Amino acid sequence: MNASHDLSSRLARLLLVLALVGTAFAASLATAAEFAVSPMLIELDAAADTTAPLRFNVFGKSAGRARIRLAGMQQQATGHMAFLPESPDAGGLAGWIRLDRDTLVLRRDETATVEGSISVPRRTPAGTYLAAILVEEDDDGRQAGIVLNVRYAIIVSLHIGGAQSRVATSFRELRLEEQDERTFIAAGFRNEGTRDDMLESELQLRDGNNRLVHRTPLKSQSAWQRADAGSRVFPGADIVVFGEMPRTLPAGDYQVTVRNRFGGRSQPVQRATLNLPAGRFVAPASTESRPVRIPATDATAAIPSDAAPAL
Amino acid sequence: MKTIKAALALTALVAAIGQASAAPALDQDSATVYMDIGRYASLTGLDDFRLTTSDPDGSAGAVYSGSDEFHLESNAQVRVSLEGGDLSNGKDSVSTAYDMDGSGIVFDTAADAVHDGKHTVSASAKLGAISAQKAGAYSSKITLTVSAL
Repeated sequence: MNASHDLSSRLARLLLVLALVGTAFAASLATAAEFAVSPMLIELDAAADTTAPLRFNVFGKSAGRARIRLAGMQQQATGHMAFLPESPDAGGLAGWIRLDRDTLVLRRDETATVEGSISVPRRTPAGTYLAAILVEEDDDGRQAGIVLNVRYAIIVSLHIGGAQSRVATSFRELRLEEQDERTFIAAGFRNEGTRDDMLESELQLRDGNNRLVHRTPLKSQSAWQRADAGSRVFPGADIVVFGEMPRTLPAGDYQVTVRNRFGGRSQPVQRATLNLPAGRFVAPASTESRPVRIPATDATAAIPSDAAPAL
Repeated sequence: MKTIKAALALTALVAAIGQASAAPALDQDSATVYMDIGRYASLTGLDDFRLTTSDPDGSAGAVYSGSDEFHLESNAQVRVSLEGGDLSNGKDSVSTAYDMDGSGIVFDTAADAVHDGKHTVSASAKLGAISAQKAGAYSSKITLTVSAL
């Protein structure tokens, strides 16, 4: 009887220890709740002074609580989109959206539909407007090591019809930049219109004998990463476009010509003279083909913007 | 009787021919079925992780590193971007670097294609001088954002 009691007691203690270890492990390295959303891109057409409905689904791949927030969007110099949940630009699209809830509690394999609407203010000019609906785990302040959080950004793209403003762009600060022993030619591009469009930009380099020695597309970092043919530029955005220069070129003066098409329309041709000093272009050992990040500033050989007048 | 049978047979034949000739007209009605599949992506398998070091724990310049693997599946091109801050105990902080698949904090799946693959998120932190940060638990939150732009 005593032996049996001892065995039961030991087994109970063992189970208790295992439970404590399991609990401690689970608490120290938690698993993020898993969701998915659909659709990830909501494209709507509307007119000023109207209300358009919108809806999306959140799917619980594991049980958990999701938080839903609106965010403004801003295109960065790299062409990537930044989400601004802390300041969902009250004057922009994020401020026009109303959702029927801001949290969701989902069981595993449960789907919830979130309904909402967009109230477009009166006298809203024609153009493209962007906002994001961010769906992420409401993680309840997990704090151990590296805490991972997955966020889905549902992009809302609203097109307001009507008389479009004309395409207006500017191109400036054509310059050479060196990174990781590679040389790039970069420039700034701004979309001054009210709708987004694709920029197709090509640079040609001719030597003193007017011989074509190099041509390259100029694209944003985002476009290079996505292997897009051109760079998508949103209204009001300032982006940096760049292309790689040849690894070796003799010293001397070169004529640079940049032809831009935005929204399928030709933009003013940009021309500049580029002086390459001796020894500047030395073939580096690196053969990596992936484009590197080009900063928006810190030019190493800036070509003055007045040297690249629009024709 | 024969006449009646012949008349019936003729009537049946005419009816059959009539049906046969009418049938193609009915078959010519057509409908086009449309379906629009929304963009969908799912990022799963992420767990919180700890950074560990092979250097003497707490020594000046000790490098701590760790990683976790996740699974990304999508039916269109999507972008995954990472945001994260330095590890902190609430007072002191340790400079922390992050990357995905060893190549930066943003990646895009292939254009105009579905995607189904595993990826790695990594973090590394390097201590300053011994007295630059107090011993104890440090934590940081990183967010992976999946978007269609």
